[in-house]
Amino acid sequence: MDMMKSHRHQRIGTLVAAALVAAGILASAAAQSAPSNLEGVWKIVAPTKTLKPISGSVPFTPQGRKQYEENKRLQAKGAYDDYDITLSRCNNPGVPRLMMTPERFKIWQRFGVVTFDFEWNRALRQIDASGQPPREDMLGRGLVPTMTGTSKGHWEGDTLVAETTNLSDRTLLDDLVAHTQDIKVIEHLRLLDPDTLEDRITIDDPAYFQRPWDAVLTYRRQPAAVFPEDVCLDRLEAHQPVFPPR
Amino acid sequence: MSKTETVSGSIKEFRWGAPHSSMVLIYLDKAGKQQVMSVVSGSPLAFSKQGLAPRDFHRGDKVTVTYHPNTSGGPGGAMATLTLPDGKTYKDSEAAAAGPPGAPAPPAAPPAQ
Repeated sequence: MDMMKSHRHQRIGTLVAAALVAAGILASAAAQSAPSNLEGVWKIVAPTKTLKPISGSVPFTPQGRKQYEENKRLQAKGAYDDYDITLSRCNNPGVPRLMMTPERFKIWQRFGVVTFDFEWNRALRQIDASGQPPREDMLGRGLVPTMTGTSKGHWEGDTLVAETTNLSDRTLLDDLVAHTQDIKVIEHLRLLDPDTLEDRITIDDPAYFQRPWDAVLTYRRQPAAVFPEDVCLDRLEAHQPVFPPR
Repeated sequence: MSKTETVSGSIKEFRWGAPHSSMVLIYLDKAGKQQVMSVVSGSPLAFSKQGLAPRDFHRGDKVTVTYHPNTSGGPGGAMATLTLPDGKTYKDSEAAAAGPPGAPAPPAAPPAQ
């Protein structure tokens, strides 16, 4: 009887192992079917708190400038909770500010979805480049914006083009620049070489900016690693910076 | 829910969620000192049914709120009505309907300031 049980357990174990291998092969195939493989561990080359336009200065509208100046005033007072709930409460920094975190992030490509797995506070964002039609908004109201919004992507050659909308206006673009809920963030992500990833970011928010403007962030490939746990609120409690200097 | 108070102030933050959202309001207390209170409200869908969406609420908007104060006596409570600067109003009729028989209906929303 014990022998029969042992054989049954072995058979189940073999089946489970086979299923896991098959899932791994499928996942790997899914990553390889994308025009470019962005997978790996990445880290920003030049950590910054400011999303700098490629040329000139941020083309604020009067309304956008007013909000920026107000945020500067609050920053000078140290009233972070009044304008930047990432600094005061470790809220998700949103898009594109997550892409400026000084710590590493991993990219996974599975079934057409590109997942960014950030070391900072274990944050996540996803770009859906699967080609699936957008989820039906059954109530027709597009109700609640979120910190990382909704990112739809497609491939243009070896470049992943992502458009993020439905972003909460409770996030900032960087440590000072605000946006409205109507912002569109368009990103062009591509490998400049096997170890360098570029994210060209276009900010389009007519209420706060006179015209769309561009910024570029660059990342260097890092050795594969398991990220240690990172709890931003622990840092806050210990009076350490929300974004640790690296 | 037996008491209702009215306060005017400016929105610091609206935290949308289900089943409850909450509005953080900056207001002046009786001594004229700036204070902050949190007023719990319904889900986004409850607002949507009355023609309001998150994009109708902005930081700094001047609003008038009637609310059922916290039994603890701490600032804030449960939202009964809300009036936005453009005159749009919200009334928490769902919570009132779920109240015990004979509970008072929420008051009419005050006019915009």
